[in-house]
Amino acid sequence: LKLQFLYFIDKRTRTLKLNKMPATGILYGHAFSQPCRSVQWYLDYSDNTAVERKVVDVLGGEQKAAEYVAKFPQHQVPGFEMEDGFCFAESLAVLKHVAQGDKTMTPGCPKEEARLNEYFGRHYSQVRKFSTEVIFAHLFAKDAEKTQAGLVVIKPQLESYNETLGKQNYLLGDKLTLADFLFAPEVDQLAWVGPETLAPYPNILKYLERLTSDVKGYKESFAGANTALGL
Amino acid sequence: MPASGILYGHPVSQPSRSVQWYLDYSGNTTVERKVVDLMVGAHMEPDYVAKFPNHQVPGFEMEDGFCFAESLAILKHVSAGDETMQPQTAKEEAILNEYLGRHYSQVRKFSSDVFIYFVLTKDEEKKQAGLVAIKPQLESYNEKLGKQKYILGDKLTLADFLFAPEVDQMEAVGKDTLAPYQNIVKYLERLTTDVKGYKECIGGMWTELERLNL
Repeated sequence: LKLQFLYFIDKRTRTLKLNKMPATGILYGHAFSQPCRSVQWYLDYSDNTAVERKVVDVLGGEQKAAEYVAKFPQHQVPGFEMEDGFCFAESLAVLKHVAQGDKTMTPGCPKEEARLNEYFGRHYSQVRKFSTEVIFAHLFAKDAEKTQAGLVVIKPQLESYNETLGKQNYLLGDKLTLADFLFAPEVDQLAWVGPETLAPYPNILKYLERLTSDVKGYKESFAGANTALGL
Repeated sequence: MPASGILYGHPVSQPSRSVQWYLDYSGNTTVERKVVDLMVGAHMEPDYVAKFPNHQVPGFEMEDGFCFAESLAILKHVSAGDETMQPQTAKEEAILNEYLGRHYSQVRKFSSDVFIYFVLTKDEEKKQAGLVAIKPQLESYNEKLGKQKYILGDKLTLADFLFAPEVDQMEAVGKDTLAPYQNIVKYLERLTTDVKGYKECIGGMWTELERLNL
């Protein structure tokens, strides 16, 4: 029998805390959406079968249907509905919520927490901001010029992370963190632009290969996005 | 214990103001504050870049020399010992994290575009385009602030420390820029009268803008 302790000692604050149970509720998302993939991948990685998953057909505009907007006024995916009907959005919030009971994803000291929060800030303002522009230009606007312009803009970020990943296994060090769940779906999709897109960043490619072979759920996450787009 | 270390920032930088305001609000005197003169490129100097390779402000240096950036990370670090700023339930935490995501992708994304064009490039066309882009966000928060005292409800949270410096700077961009959003204006007035440190936070911005002749 595997014993589940009710309490654990939080090493960072040196306090006794109640063990949080695996998350339950409903995740609304789409297999192509990068922030949805972050959460879905984490649920697969952590073997969470308690969160129900519902597909929102964002390509068909379902996120703007009245019923969905009633729950998520900004018609975003991913969206999360707690068991009592409380709804919220934003991948950062949803990911942190579903990972709350996972001590391996909880920073062990103020420095780890600072680095993780530092990445959360950069994720939106640097990584996602530029990667979505490239993908929208390539997949939806079919604008080759804007796609290439976007790749130029994202280049410094990719170079920086390529350098980082040449020295360590994962984004923030040698331990998998929530930062990886956010980062990988934003960069792997750049391969859709063309096989040469990520070639200048071999450490990022090796990192994605490591995720594929070593981290549960990642291979299915990327494959699912490809299938959703018919690629 | 109250946070200690060194905060590197600038009085006009909105994310720096968020952290400086929180330190004043919480009566923190153990974090040393150093001004990084962005206008002369001090953030690109080798000494600074050695600590903060992305040459960002604000930056924070812990007592053992460990350095990190991003206002979200610094704000959470310096408020780690403040129970009033810690979410008490899973819902409060979800709502706060939801705002933290939107702060970067919605609020700051547009407000910084407007301010950069105002302060640095003086590009009137892009400034106006930025004001149009931010309009839906301002309308949304204006509506919300007509029903509650602060961004996430009737309790002050870290979200307010991030949000207010992004929107109050709109007045620096042009007089009456916030006039269509009276609930936001009243919110900023409430912060000025009720929340320690905010008056100095916005005052510091105006003083620096005057010094820079902007």
